[in-house]
Amino acid sequence: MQDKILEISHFSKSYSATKRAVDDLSLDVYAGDIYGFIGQNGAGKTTTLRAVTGVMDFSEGDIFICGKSVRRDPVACKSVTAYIPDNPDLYEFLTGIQYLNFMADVYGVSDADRKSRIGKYADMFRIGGDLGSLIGAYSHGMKQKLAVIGALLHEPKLFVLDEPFVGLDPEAAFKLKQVFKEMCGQGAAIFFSTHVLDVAEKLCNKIAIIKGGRLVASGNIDDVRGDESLESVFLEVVEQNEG
Amino acid sequence: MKAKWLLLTKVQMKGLLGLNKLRKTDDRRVKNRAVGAAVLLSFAVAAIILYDILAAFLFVMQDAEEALPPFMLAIASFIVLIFSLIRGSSILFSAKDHDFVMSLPVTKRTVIVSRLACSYFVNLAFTLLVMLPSCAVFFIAGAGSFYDFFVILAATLFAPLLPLAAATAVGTLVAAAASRFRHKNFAQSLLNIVFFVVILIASFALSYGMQSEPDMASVSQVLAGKIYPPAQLIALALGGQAWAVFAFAAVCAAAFALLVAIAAPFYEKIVSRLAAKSGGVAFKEKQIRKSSAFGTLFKKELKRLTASPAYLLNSIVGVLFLLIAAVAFLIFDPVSTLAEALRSSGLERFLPSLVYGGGGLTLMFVGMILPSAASVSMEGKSCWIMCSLPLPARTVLLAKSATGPVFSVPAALFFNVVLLVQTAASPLQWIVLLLSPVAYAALVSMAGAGLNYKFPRYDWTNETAAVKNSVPALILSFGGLAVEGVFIAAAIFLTRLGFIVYIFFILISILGCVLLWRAFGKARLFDGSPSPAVYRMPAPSRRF
Repeated sequence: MQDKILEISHFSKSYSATKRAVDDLSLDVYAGDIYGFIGQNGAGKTTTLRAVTGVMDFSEGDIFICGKSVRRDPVACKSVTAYIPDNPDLYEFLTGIQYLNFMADVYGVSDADRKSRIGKYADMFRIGGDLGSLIGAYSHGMKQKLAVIGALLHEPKLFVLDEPFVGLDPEAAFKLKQVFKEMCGQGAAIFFSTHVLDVAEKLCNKIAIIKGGRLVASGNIDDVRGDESLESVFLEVVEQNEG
Repeated sequence: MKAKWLLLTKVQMKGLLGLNKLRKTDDRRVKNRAVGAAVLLSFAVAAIILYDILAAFLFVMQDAEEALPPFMLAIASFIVLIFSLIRGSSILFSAKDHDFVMSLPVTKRTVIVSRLACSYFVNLAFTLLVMLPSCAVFFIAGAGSFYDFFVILAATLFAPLLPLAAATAVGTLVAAAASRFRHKNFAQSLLNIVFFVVILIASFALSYGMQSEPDMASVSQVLAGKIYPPAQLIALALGGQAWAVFAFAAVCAAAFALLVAIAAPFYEKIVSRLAAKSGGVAFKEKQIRKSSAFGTLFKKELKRLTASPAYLLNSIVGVLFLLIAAVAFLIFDPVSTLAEALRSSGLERFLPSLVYGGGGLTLMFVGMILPSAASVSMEGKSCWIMCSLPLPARTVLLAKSATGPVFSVPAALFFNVVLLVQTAASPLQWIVLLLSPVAYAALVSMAGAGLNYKFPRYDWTNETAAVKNSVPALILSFGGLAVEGVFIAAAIFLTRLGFIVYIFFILISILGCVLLWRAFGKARLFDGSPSPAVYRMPAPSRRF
């Protein structure tokens, strides 16, 4: 049986008495899974991802990463997780290499490992020639690439990404998908949100559809879509739940 | 249709004060924090009002009421000048919404006016805070007429324009000069500091000619006459010459208009140069170096501080004051003069008070060095990094706390050593005066980080909103001033036994550090801003 990397158990998040951003959401992500999380704008995807990564607090339900609770043992959970938000605002006053050193220091990556990994991923994403420049001088796509490299330095068990393909050039998007597959082959798991159903359909082995903060469908992608395309299923599910 | 500059100003004000977010949010925690901040802020406001009223009573007691309004106006203008100098070029040039605003169908002049208007309204609120309580005393004391009321009202409304225009002009020149350098931010920080020091030294030099036993009228004369001459026009207007108030208003408005007219043609050019990015620099393998998590966080904090001219200058104003004062002490040796004056007046028993009073002054400046009070807010939209790091909040907050003492402790020790040498202090005095700034610097720095953790502000578009509108800095500056005032008074009063107060102060500071250390251990870092899902539910119609 595969290892359970992420377990979201009855997670709810309210910002006020009248607004429930996420309502009783439960799902499991196993080692080797590339799990797509899809939904309309404001459905609760980002709220869920932020709770998983410990960026946002919550009081209802629990989230476990490699068996440890995000609420009770956040540091242990964060040390095996990597997160990239939809718009990675990085420290613009640092150079690319300073940022990568910073991330490697914080995650306790050894000298030898950080050298080899920075070299490997900088070549892969063709960013080595700019790592000495200030991040403030980077384009959106370059920041995205740098954030990805920073997230990969400690070889996370769980990689959480919010709209990871927005802003990436086609080559970088292809390389990122390769990285996803490579990581999953090594026993890690990917949990990411996306609006691009095409990507989800081709890349993910599992998906979850969230609407109005509630999980309306989840599981193996073949089970969820059946004989239809993911786009038709998504539109159907969204319309079914209207009103 | 509303004027475009007014529309832009309104939008900026909403962002600057955060009141709009507070009004529209349903997040209970945001509201609770705002209530907490408002309560603490009201203490700071109360402290300002108290100082204000005390100063006003000094004038009344010395029958120098007529000198009060020009004096308070000069004080308010001087503080506006200092604050605006600290903000420097960021008033006009460092807003993150620049591209968006410039894409709108508005002229450069409109954008500049809106940026300045935003600062004007904030400074006007401060000027009113300074002027209202003291002028209330002025009128209650029966010194003012209906005519005086209109003179003071007009003066108060126009007063912030002149220092704001002067400081922005300096900031614009600094930005224009710095934009030619490769390390623009560092050049800007350095030039800002040079200008600031020149202005401080000039104002010290102008006030140095004051008589040794000043009364409030002569203090007002020096301040309003020499340091801030336009305030003299208000003195003339209150003396019955009505033209002077119109002249004052004209001078202030003309300075503002002149700045807008001169800055507009160069605005875009300076912004473009400041934003010009030098990309394409590869890294060298030796740049990949390992260090501890705390060390890397601390280095990052220092880089953040030096990358922002406004943040740096705001944080090290106290250091500059201390260094200038120490050099002035070395050159002019006022300690010997004061000691001689005490001996000749038969007050030798107050000689130890010179040491303890001077040491108290150091602590007041140390209390102003608070980079940590804005350090959490300065994370801005990058706060997701801080919140997702696998580190205890204590490590992050301690790294933020460590930046202040790096600057404040050496400057404070330098000043105190000069003082101790000049006063031929006893070994006990050496010990307490060397330990107290270290302990207090640690306390205020940790308290700054702790308060900013409680009251963070990540949603700024101009970093000066995080630096200058920092509630923790206000609370610590003015709250600290009250504590330091009581402490200094006690140390001076106890003369030879003043060391007891110092030992008590050091122990309290250490205890405060220990309590904050424990509180940091329970802290959890979260990005408090709601994600898009919070806006999913339709808002009630009354909220539009």
